[in-house]
Amino acid sequence: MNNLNHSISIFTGNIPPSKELFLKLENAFLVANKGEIIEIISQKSNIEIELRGWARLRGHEYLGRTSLKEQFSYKIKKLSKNSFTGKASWNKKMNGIDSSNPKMKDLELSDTILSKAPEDNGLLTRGIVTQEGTPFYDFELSHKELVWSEPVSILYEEGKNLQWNATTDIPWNEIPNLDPVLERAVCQIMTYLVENEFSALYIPGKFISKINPYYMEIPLFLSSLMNDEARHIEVFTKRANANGGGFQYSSEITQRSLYSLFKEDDYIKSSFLLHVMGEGTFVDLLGFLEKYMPDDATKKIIRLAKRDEMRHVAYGIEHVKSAIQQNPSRINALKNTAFKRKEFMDEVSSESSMLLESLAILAGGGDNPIAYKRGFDLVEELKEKMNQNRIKRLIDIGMDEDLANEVSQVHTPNFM
Amino acid sequence: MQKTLMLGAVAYDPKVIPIWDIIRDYFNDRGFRLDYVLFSNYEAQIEYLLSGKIDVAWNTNVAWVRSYELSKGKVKALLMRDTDIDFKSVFITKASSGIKSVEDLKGKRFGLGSGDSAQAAILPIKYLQNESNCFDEINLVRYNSDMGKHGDTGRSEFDILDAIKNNEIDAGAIGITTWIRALEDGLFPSGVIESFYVSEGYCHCNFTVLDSLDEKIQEAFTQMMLSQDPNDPIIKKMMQMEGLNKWVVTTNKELEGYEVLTQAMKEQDLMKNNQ
Repeated sequence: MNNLNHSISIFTGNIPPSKELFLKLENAFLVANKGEIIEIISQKSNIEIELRGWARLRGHEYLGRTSLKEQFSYKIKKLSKNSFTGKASWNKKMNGIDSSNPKMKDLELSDTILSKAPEDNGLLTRGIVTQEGTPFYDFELSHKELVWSEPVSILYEEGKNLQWNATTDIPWNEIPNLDPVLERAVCQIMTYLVENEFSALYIPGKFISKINPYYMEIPLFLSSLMNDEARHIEVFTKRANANGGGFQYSSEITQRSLYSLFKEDDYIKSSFLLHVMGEGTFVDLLGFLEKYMPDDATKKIIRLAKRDEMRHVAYGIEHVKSAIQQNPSRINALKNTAFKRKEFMDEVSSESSMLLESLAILAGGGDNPIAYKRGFDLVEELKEKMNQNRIKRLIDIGMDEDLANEVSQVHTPNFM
Repeated sequence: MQKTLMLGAVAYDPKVIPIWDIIRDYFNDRGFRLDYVLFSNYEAQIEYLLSGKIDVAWNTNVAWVRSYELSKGKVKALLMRDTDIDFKSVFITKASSGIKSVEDLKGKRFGLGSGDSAQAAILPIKYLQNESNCFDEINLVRYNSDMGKHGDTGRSEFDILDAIKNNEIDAGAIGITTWIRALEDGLFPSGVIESFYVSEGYCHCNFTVLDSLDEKIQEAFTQMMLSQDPNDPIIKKMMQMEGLNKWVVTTNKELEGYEVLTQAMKEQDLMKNNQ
């Protein structure tokens, strides 16, 4: 049997037949190919009974024993089929390690990112070698075009770098005592923001478990996004309660709008409604709030939240854009989605009056008729600006101008 | 296939039900009507096979030998697990006992499993008689647990392992499968227990039929079993539970693997089916 070439040797020293010996054997055979001969080099002169018995139990062929200098060589041939779909990579060093700056985009997990995730991709990602017989997860979102967004690795890194702390990064003690009318308006606005942030937290949460982790950057980014939204909920809650006010009222129209967003079960449509239409418009709203907030601490809250939201919009735009590039007929589906939502919203025909009044008071600087009227005009201006920016984003994702106009017009009066 | 082929198996463990459900479904999905009945012991199963109440029996080696003898050779072994061929018995002892060979058993306490277990009792007695010139001076200690199951549960083999652990006996006989699994499971600290004798290979279970069963049905059953793909997840699960890597046809060569047991059972007066 000396002339049988083995491809793998495992050294077991003086380990007797035992759990630890069989563990080594088990693993050596797991990674070997069918037909390969594995040599076990042991100082033990007679572990043949056990090696032969083990081989038989596993369906392998025990070949025999030869004496080496002060040790023994036992050989077993693997007869069962390969246990893994491939070989794990080795001798590979990630870019950026040497400079202590390894980024997600520096990962080379596979040569190409497949347009469809392998069927046996469970809770693992590209580059991890799957064992045969692994459970079949059947992730609903297993196609690249359904989830991918090209700059996602960069956005993810940015998301981490720009994390901030809603406790320590805001000069809470610098919030001045505002006129109660203004403070009440701020509290109503914060109430509304919290409602919207809940939708932005829950909706990606609804989809994460459906996204095939083969496209690992996406769930990672979405969790950073969810972390952002959680922080926004926290910071807006704290602001509402910071200065003698507290949460105010939730309108039916706001909840109805968020509900229509929450119920969307198609990821691309949801991404379109949430990130492109909703958060896009939300960014304009935050810009408006930042401009008219009477104090710097609250301005900072809004500014930091806006910076996060812009990143979310960037993800959504690239995601929907590439989905449309892959399949241009999707534009029609997205249009229908926007119109369907409008129909649903039309069942209650008004805007959120509480929010609009609060925005007008904030922008006008008070609730006397002159200030209120001025503020109201500014809010109307904001709505037009939101419309224009929506059209730009819709053109950006691939709609023609007429359609973009049409779709933007039907966007929910709730903004989000 | 008109009539449903009725197969018998002994319910030695709850997993027997999923095993045979998978096999039954496999047959039925392919248009071969098969059902199974479970027995609580092999003796009843042998009677049912020999009286034609079941068509196929999933028999231990002891049940096979009895079926063969009681039917005067009018039974056939169709196929078996790959792990049924070249099965062995192992004698084990504590590494510290000083027992290195069968000769060292003189005056020692030696554990044997259930009286109807080929691997833990019937064959070990024969091997002791053959290999040792001090058989009469060995104190045999019997662990007759789970009689009727022919050692399927391994219960008596675990009793032997326990007895060695507790110094109730000095050595004992178990099947190679139980031995490897006990080592793999780390039942004892590494190196505490070791083997000092392994028997020649013999044969274990097989699917037994009366040779009067329509040959086409025999062939169809055999082919249906052989067509099971060990890589199909549900088949893989069944094979893991049943302890095989693939089904293999029983040829004359494998039948020779029952000769030593037949001889031992005759010598030990174990051919009757009335235990």
